[in-house]
Amino acid sequence: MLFLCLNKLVEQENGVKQIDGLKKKSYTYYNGRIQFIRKGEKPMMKGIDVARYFLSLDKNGEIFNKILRTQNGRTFYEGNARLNKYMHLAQNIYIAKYGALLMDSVFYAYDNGAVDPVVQESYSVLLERRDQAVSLQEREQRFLDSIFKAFYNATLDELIELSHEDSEWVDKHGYYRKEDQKMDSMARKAEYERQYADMIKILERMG
Amino acid sequence: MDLEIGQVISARIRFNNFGLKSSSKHPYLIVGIDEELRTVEIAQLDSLQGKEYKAAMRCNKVIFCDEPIETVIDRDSYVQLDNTFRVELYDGLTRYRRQTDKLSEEKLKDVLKSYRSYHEVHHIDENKQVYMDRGEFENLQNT
Repeated sequence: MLFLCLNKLVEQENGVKQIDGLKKKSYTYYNGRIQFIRKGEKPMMKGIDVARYFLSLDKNGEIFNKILRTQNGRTFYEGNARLNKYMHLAQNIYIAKYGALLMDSVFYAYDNGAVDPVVQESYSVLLERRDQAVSLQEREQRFLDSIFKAFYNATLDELIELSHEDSEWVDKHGYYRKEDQKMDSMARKAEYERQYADMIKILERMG
Repeated sequence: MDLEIGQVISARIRFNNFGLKSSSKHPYLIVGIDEELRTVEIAQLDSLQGKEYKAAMRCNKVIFCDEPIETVIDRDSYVQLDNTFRVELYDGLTRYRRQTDKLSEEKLKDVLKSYRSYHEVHHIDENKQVYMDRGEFENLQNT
C-alpha cells in the first residue's frame, strides 16, 4: 500500500531520498529501505553498516582480526567480540547523548557481553570486505570516529567488563532461551544518561 | 603542614598482596585519614589521555581538569575506585606530597562520595586491600 503511494523519488546526497507524493517532512528513504521518522529526526542506521564502518577504520587489521579466544566456555574471534562491544557501547552512549537509537541492531545478552547476532554471524564476510566504502551522515560518522578512537586501547577484557556493566545485560543474561536474552536498550535511556555523562563529555573534548 | 584529604602524593606503592610493585612514582589522591588507626588512605590517579574509554567504567571516577581549573592535575583524569590502599601515617609522609594544594571543593566531595559508595556496594578483593607500613613504604621509594 505504501509503495502504491510513491509517485516520484527525488535523489539527494548520502543515500537519503525524499519521497514525493507523501508528506515530505514525515518520511524518508534511507539506504534502500523506507523508514518512517518524525519531523526533524534522523533516520536510524543499520547495525551492519555500523559494523562495516568500524571495520573500515582498522586499515591494518590490528584490532579486528581472526585471533581465536576461549572464555566463559565460548570460543570466538577476538575481533568479532571487540566489534560487537564497540557497537553495544556506541548504541548506549548514543542513546545517552541524543535520546535515540543509533542503529537498528537487536542485542542479546550473551556470556561475553552484548552481541548483535546478525553482525556476529557475518563477521568473516564483513572482514573480507572491509575496504568497501560506507556512506554515513556527518553526525554519525563523527560519533563513530570518536568511539573508535576512545576505545582503541581498551583490552578485550575491559570491553567485556564494560558491556557487563550495562544493567540491561545484567537483567537479560543467564536466561536459557535466546528470546529471553533480547535486550531493550532504549528502556535504559535515563540510566545511560547518568552512567555515560562523563564519557560523553570526554568524547566531545576529543574533538 | 599536615597531610589533608584532597592533596596528592607522588610515590611508588605495592599494588596488591601478591607483591606487584610500581616501577615508577605515580600520583595518588588522599581520600581518607584515620588518626586513630594512624593510616592514610590513597586512590590512584591517572590521566585519561590515550585511554579515554576508562571514563565509561564504573570502577573509575572522572575528574575534569577545568570548571574550575585544578592545580593538582593538568589533564582530565580519573580516580580508581576498586582498590583500598593504606599507608601508615607518619611525619615523613609529607615529603611525598606534590604541593599543599587540594582538589577543588565540589569535585573532591563528588570523588569522595563516589569512592565511599563504590566501596559500600562492591566487594574489594582482599588481594586489592593493601596496607604498607612506614618501613615498607620508605623501602619502595628508595628502590
